This record gives sequence, C-alpha cells and structure tokens, in this order.
Amino acid sequence: MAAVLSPAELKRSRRPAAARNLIVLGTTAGLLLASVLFGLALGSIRIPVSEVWNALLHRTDTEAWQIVWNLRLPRVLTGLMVGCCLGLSGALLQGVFRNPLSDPGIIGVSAGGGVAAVTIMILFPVQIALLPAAAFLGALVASAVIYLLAWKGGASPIRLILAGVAVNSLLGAAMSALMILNSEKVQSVLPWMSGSLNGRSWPHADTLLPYTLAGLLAALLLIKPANLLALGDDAAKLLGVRVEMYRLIIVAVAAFLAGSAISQAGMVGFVGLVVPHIARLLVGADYRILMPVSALGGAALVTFADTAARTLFDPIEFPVGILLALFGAPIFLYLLRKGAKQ
Amino acid sequence: MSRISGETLKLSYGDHPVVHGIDLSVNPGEWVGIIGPNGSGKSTVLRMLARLVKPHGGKALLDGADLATIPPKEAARRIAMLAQTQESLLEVTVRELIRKGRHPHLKWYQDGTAEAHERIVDWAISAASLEELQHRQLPALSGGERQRAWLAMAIAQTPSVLLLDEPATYLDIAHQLELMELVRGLNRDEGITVVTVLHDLNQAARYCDRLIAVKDGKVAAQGRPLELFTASFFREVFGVEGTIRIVDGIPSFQAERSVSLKQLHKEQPNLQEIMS
Repeated sequence: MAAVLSPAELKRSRRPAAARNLIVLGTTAGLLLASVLFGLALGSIRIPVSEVWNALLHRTDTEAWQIVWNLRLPRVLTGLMVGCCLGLSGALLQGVFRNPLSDPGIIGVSAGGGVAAVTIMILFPVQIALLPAAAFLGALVASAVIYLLAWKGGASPIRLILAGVAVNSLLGAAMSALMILNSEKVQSVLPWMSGSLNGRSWPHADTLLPYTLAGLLAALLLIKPANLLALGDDAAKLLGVRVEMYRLIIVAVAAFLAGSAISQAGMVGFVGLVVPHIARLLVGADYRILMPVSALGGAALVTFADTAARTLFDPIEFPVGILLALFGAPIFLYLLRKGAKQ
Repeated sequence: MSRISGETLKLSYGDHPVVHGIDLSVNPGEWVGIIGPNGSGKSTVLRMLARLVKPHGGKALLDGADLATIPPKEAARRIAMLAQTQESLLEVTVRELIRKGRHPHLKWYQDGTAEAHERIVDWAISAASLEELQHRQLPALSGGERQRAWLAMAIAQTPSVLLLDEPATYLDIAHQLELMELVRGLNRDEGITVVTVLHDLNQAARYCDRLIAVKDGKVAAQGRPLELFTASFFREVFGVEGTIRIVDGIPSFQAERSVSLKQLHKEQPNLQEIMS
C-alpha cells in the first residue's frame, strides 16, 4: 500500500528535478554572453571588456565607442542571429526526420541558395545587391521542390532525405559547372561558398532581425508538435496529430530559418548539424529544452568562431565556415564517441 | 449498437488486394480476437479500425458514426492502439511518454500538467505497475517494460476502444501473460472494449470472448473459442492438423502436421541427390 503523499511530495515525484537541464541552459546563455563580449573586445585593436561595457551603455563617440558600435556590434549580432537560425533549423529537422544526421543542407537549402548566389555573382555581378534575396528564394524553392518530389500520398522522412540528397547533388553539379565555365570570376564566390561574415554591418543585421524573430517564434510554437512527431508517425496519428500537416510546417519553418541565415552569411555548414546534436546529448530529446539550448548554442558557436576567424590570422580574415569545420569536426567526433560510451 | 465495426472493408496495395470486403462488429465491453495466417490481412483490418490506413472501400464505424468523418483528436479520445513494435530509441522518460496520452484531451496551449490530467497519468502508471520505472528513460527498459509503458500511454488516452496488434510477439512467455492479464483487467474492470490481433491461438482462446478468423482478406469463420476450435476449422483456415483439448471450458490446440507442406514434400528432391 503506497503512502499518501503531500501535494509538494506528489509534485516532486511527478516532476523529478530538472536541475541538470537548467544548468545546461544557463551555461549556454553564459557562453553566448561571453562570446558577444569577446567579439566586441578582440580585434586588431583590443578594447578592455570594461570599456566595451561602458561603450554599450553610454554613447561617448570615442574611438572605442566607434569600433564597438559601428564595426564590431553589427557583425557580432549578424553572426549571433545566423547561428541561432541554423541551430533551430537543425533541431527541427533532426526531430521531424528522426535522423540525427539530417541538417538544413539535406532539404536543399544550401544547394538552392548556392545556385542562386553563384548565378548572381558570376552571371549578373551588377545585381550583387540582390544576392541575399536571391539566395533566400533559391533556398526556399529548392526545399519546395524536394518536398514535392518526396510526396506520394504523404512525405515520409526517408523519401525526403533521398530526394534531398538527389537534388543536392544535381544543384551541386550545376554550381560547379557555372564556376568552371567562369573560372576567372570564382575568386569572388569562394568566401560566400564557405560561409563568411566578413564586412557584415548594420544593414545586414537589420535585415536579418525580423526573419530571425519570426523564425524563432514559429520554432517555439512548434515545440509541442515536434515532441509528438518524435514518437513516430503511427503513434502521433493515434494521438490525433495531423502528421503530414505538421511535418510540412516544420520543414517549411526550418527552410525559412536556414535560408535567412545563408542569405546573410553564405553557406555556413556544420552548425545546423552539430549544435542540436550536442544539445541532444546534453539535455535529451525534449524540445521544450532542446529548442532554446540549440538556439543559444548555435548563436554562441558562430559568434565565438567568427571572432576567432577574424583575429587568429590577423590581418587575413578567414571565412568563419572553414574555421567551424576545421575545429568543429574533431570536437564533434570526440563528443560522439564520448556520448556513445555513456 | 456495436461499439466499433467495419462494413465491407476493402484495401489493396497497388494491384494486390489485401482485404476484400470484411464485415465485423464488436459490442461494447467485448474482447474480440482477430486471428489468421500470415498475410491474411488481419493487421490491415486493425489499422483501418485505428484510422492509420484509409479503407479503399467500405467504412469503419465508431458508435455508428463513420470514422472518416470524426476529427482526428476526437477519435483519439475514444480509440487507442498498441502496436507490435515502437520507436525504441526515443529518449524520454516513461512518465513523459504516458503524459503524451493526454494529448487528445488538451488544447494547443495546454501541456497536460493540470492536476486532473496528472491524476489520470498516475492511474495509468499504477494500472501498468510502472511506479518504480516512471522516471527511467525508455531505451533503458527491457522489451516487456517498454511495451507496458506504451500500453500505459494508450490507456492514458482514456479510450472506450483499445486496439492491440500482436502486442506480445516479442515478449517472453512470462511478460506475454503479464500483458494479457493487464488487458483483461482493463476490459473487465474499466469496461474498455478490446480488439486484438493475435498470433498465439491458445492465448486468443484463453482471453477473448469471441474470435474472428481472417483468411485471404475475408472473414473465414467467427464465434466463441469453444465453438470455433474444431479440427475442420484448423485444417481449412490454417492448413494444419492436430489435437484439441478442453480444460475448464477453455479450448487449446496442439498442431501436429501441416496439410499444405505434406504435398510440398512429394515434389521436393533430396538435397543429397542434388549434391551427388
């Protein structure tokens, strides 16, 4: 016979302390704050963190204030939003495909955006101002095409992945062909292809902000359906979830988020794959915690990486995408092995 | 009126008809077993009743209303199902999984932590004897425990109909009986109507009020186990011969030889001859 529990005891027995999750969330938020302060302080001219803080709070028009507000802050914020979008996009896709290896690239976002961007840069360099819009549209169109190709009375995760791989290689070939036929202009394309935040300033940050906020809001509203879809199609249907409808919405929001990110930063890979994966190892599969940790973690990772890309090889500015893959891949493999042992 | 029923249910995969014109009806509070050989279409019939598959012809009815016209969430408040296997790598705790069973009863902004829902979750956990395991992660459980957790989620939906698709196939004999006894309790004490696809004919005879035998996508025979278990029934539906015993009014069947395989043996050359 079970003892009668007091309301407080009953509550605790129903919800065991989620302290670990809160610690991870707090740590990730702390990392993001630290990455922002580092990003503002470091560069060819070092500014002490106390002065950065001061410049953020009071307009002083000193040199330090100019550097922080006009040069570094917009770039840091752009990187932060790019990382946030990619982290959320990957978290949504890994859940809806029930496949830890899916990332925004798989739904054609990078290939579609890539073809559009390369076309503008090589064939219509005069229209370079249209590049972000074109990359964004290219990403969404490729995602829609992949969804339609995978549709057969419903779009199963495996058919979506296969259609994604096929369309990606087709568009990849188109991109290579364009570049080889115009090899003299390839130099300008390369930083964009590997993902770079070089020279990003307030217009970029201002453009990205509404997209990031809209995508973030949509992602947060999708927490509950994402958790239900993770049970498997049949189980979700049995609970009365309209599985096909929610899968379409989730893929669309993921494409929107990743498309927004690459429109401003080019094809930054890796973040959408790794951040949600590591978040999953740390906090488990519940989207109520996975979603915010992926968003904060992606933002912190890109901000840190871009600061490193900017300062490590000074005066050469390295594309952040290359640095992410170079250092990120081995760390990711280490975490995977460690996670597998537990 | 029957609680759940099918009227001339039809379904084909491509050109291959799997179910052609099945009528069945289950009364409130009844436990009906669907039996039949592999590929007979019995699981497909169950999936149509669970609205996982849309029938290509005919219709499934719940309390007299066409299932296709009932909104998905409304249907999920009244029908729950436990499948043969589940997503086994899902990293949630047992309690979190069972909480998901409340989804059909929640508005989009609710998360099911209100006291009324938690009490039902507590009830489902205790019905499935999962108190000790409720905060464990699903992948850390044994197959039998995991199956019990998914059953608890299904009954947390507080359905009036529970469908089970060979729920005990991958469990050892002790866990099989445990699961069947658990369902019997739900059927008798809570009045839940149960429809089970079963492979084990003797278990079907022991637990079900009525059996429906399906063969080649049609109902071949139906009746109470005691009426149904005859030598000609096993020969015609399953193609086997054997002995029927009746203990305490429950029939059981011991298969002894396959009718169809006997004919195969005549034409089959000996392996030794082929190799020489």
